[in-house]
Amino acid sequence: MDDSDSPTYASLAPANPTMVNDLASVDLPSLSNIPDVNSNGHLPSAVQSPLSGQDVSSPQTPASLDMKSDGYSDMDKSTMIAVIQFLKRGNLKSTEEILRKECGFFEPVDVTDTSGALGEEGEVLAAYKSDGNPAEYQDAFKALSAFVEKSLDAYKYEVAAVLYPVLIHMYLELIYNGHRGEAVELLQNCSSSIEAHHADDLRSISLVTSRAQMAGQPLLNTLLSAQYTCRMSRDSLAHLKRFLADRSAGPVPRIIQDRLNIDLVDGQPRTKAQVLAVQGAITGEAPRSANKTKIFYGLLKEPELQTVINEEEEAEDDLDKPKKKKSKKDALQKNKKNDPNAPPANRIPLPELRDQDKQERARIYRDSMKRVTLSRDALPSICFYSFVNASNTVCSVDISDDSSILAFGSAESILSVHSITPAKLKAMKPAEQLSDIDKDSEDVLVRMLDDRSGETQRNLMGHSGPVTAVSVSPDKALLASSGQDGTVRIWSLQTWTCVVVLRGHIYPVWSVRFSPHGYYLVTGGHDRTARLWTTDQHLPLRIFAGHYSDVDVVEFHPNSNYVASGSSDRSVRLWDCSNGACVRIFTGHKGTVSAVNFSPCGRYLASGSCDARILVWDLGGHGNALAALSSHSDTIHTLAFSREGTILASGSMDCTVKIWDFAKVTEEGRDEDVNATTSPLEDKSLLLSTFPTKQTPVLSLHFTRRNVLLASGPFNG
Amino acid sequence: MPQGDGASWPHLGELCAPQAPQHINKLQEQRYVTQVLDDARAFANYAKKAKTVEVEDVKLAVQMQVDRSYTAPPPRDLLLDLARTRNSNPLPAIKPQCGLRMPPDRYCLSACNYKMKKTPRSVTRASKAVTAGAAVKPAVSVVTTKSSSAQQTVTLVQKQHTVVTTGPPHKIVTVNRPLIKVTSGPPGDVVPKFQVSPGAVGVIHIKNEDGGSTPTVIPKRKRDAD
Repeated sequence: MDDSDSPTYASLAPANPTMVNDLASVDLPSLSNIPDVNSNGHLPSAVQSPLSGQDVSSPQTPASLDMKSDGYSDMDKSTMIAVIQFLKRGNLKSTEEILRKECGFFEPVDVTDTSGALGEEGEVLAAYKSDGNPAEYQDAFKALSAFVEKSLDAYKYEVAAVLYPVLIHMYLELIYNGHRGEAVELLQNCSSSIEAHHADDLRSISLVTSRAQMAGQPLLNTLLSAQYTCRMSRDSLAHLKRFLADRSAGPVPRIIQDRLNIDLVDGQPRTKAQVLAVQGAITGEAPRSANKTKIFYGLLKEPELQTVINEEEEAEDDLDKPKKKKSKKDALQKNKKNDPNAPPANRIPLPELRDQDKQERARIYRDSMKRVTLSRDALPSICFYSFVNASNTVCSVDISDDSSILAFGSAESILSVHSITPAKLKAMKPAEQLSDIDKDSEDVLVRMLDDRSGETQRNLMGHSGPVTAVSVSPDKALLASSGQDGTVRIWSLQTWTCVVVLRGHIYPVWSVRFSPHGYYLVTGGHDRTARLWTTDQHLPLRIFAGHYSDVDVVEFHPNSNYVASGSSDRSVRLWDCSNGACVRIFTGHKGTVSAVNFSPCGRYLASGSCDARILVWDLGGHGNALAALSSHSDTIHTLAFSREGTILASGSMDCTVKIWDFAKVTEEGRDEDVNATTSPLEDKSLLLSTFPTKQTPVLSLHFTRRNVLLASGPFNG
Repeated sequence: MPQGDGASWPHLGELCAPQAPQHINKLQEQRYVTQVLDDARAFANYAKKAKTVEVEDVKLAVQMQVDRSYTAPPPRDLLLDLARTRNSNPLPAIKPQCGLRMPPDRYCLSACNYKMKKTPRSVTRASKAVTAGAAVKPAVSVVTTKSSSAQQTVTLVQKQHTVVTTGPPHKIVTVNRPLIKVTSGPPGDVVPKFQVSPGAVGVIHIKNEDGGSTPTVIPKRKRDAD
């Protein structure tokens, strides 16, 4: 034998073809030991894979074969081809010749590339192998959509949700088995019955036209690794099952069983609006089990500020005073008032308050006294910072909590920090001067800064790619920035140098935020994870993995216990910092989620996306949208709540700032329990006002402590 | 440009010098194609099959190129695994009273990132060098070699933070005492190069070759070492 590296064949005498590995039981001349071939002409076990490359529906043509009466006529051509392929791959030329001679099978057979070459993915993709007749796929789909159309309105919309996943899986099966023509035709004729918001996904799937292209396509990996979830009420499901029972031979029931996850909803079937409200995410809706955990959405107890407050207390207590003061006063005086929804203070470790933090809190309290109360009758004043001559370069903006520092990151990898109050940006004194100052003095933090070095603007350089996000820490000592180069950098705003480079994400990091209590950072990037860091560790503490596509925006809950992340898979997820688990999945956006923000009371989450809608979610509920605010016409990049949570401001690429009445949303929503059968509030009267700019997309919004709205964006002159 | 086998692969040899911007694209394409086909032929030869290049060889060559240039983010199951491992550790408690919380020094960028270089001159003598205290940070060794006429060359690589400690044999000057122990030469040699202002604590003005003078800050520690 010429095959020296396969010792099993070494002893094979040319005239004895029966010692071939898996076919040891096949005695070709007598063919009496052929294992049963099923009606489709496939050997069940070992030779299955070589057959998948064949065109299974080609008619058998025994006419060219020289029949041996004692059994070859029983053997399919496809089986013969399989055997010959196997022999060819093992380089058993003489065996092949003998076989061909005995069976009179002289057609050339080529050893095509089978799924084995695709490796692991191939095994997963092999699930698409099917024996079905390609011509019947289109008919089966048309029958399904006709059935949906004719269903009672009560069931129609829920059942219609299966159309899209069935269509794409049919398409993929046809492509995998090589029936490209039928697949293309299927898509062309049947896409009309699919909702418009699936158009992008359909288009990217339609670009895959052969099996070789299937491996490695990210969207396909998602579809394969996760089942598409549809939620249905029992009645609709029974209705669907009745239809499927009639067609058990076709591809549709098989696809629905293998590839779809149908989640039962107790209660009435949903209306069109309700179904449409939750669709959009890549993997369908969120299953009920994903949204069951209790969330502690309350705020942490305010620390003791009794002495400071007493100095500031004013005698009068009229109703105009902002709610925050009252609640603070109440909290202080009662001090035992426990919000059942608030997390225990030690649920996650938080840095204790230093003296400077306490002074800061006092300042916050004083500001809250002077705050303007906003409502539908008292709209905020808006101050807009335009970046001129920077239309292609400014990518991200952040304003510190006390509104004294504005930092922006540019596409040229430079971070620029500006002071927007008369106070200047000072640097720390050099070392030998530092040794001179009295460390116990009250204002040591002021003294350690060199007065002569005050500047209005400073640049920070270090990233090697566009700076995608910036975040100032609450104590203004640190600045965090994330870049497309995959690094997150922490800068000191006292020495104006980069202090730490965090290199966990290797792929572009799209967003970074400091926690409201300082010390923790959360980042989200292209590697589909969000990570929780602290300023004193160089590795992440938590990895929030679960999204199916890039994590585009992240935000902390006001009590620092939860993190919200919005992603290109069109879902918003809420993660628990203490154990890294995903506690909520919110679906409903029809485009990439591009902004998330929590209300100051901690109960509501607002998210905006590229489909120009804002969805408001109630964290006390179970994953259904409370309200849908649609008025913008382009991607919403920023959302901001007023300090007492009555006004929501949104800024978008359509160059406008819109003000929404959030108090109305909450008062209407609070009465009923938001569950699967309520549809989100969509009320035109929620929009209080629109402020258009002249060609300046709005990149960031920030309410000062006195409720003045600061907005910023690059002027696209 | 890779030396492709000009006879067998078609090439745009006549465009060896890019005469227009679009030619650069063509040349890059040709380079890629040549690389792929070369790799494919290497694979075909290695597999000892017929000497012709098969489709599978080309496919493998293309795959190699892709793997060299691009990586994909880790697959979802790997991420979920990693997350599970990392999330199982409870959040560490926060140490109280830390001031600015930073990772350990070797993960920060706060270290001194320069050191003084020895210039290759003949050293006439070792000095009673005064070496300041243990190099807490990388040593700055200033070699002041000298020859009577030659300049003392001090090379200072710019930067950031404070620490200048001195190393070994040759030298340097401790600042706090206006005492310059340099080499044997007459003290006068040194003067034009070094100005130590007796009053100023910890400041050396060293004249560089380029004429600028750079104030160098010596930290308090050195004083102790003396």
